[in-house]
Amino acid sequence: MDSQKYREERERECAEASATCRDLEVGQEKGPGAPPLAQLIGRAELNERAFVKMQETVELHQGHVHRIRYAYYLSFDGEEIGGYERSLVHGEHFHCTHRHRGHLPGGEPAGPVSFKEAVNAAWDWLSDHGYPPPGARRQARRLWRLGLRRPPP
Amino acid sequence: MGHAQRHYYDADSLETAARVFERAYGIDSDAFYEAYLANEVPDRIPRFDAHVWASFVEDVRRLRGAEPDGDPPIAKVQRTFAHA
Repeated sequence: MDSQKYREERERECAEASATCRDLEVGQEKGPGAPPLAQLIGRAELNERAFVKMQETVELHQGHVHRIRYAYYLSFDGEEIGGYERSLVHGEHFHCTHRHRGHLPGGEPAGPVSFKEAVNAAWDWLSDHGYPPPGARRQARRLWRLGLRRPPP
Repeated sequence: MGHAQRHYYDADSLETAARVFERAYGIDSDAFYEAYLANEVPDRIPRFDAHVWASFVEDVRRLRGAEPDGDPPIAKVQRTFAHA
């Protein structure tokens, strides 16, 4: 896989997650003997008020993408709500729900999280706050008419 | 939506990007990174920005060969994540 295919893959993942890629930049490391590293940075826009900020440093090797570091953070009305990250320094995967001072940077250890999982978590938060993904209300009404769930809000 | 042109980065372009954060938050990159290592990044800096800024600093240092323990930079990165 090269950086162009990596970019196309991310755009496809955004579309599948009912999001729109914005300001997406993918760059490959340059230099003599440079390792196959690339950086991705951009936003997955969910609606007019919310988007997921994304950054990844990856190793592109023989058709595989290996994430060395990443960060996916939900922004709603200009406020950073929370997200997931893996840094070189801290090493562990972090799930950060809010900011506060202390030894741990406002986060708790978590398992690896993919971009799609992070976007789905963002949609879950938005749904809980009255902003479900497109088609979700229609689906909820359909399930209610079939007697498969309680009445939609 | 795709881009036919490939983009590349090196230490110079990453340093330029880091300076954008320096101007935005009024902190030198080295001072910021020290705070980042100590988990003492000021609250006014969003976590995402802190993560990206730190990644720029780390990659600039790696690309300029500024590893304190003398390891080749990419070898250290690869060893760190060999288990991932």
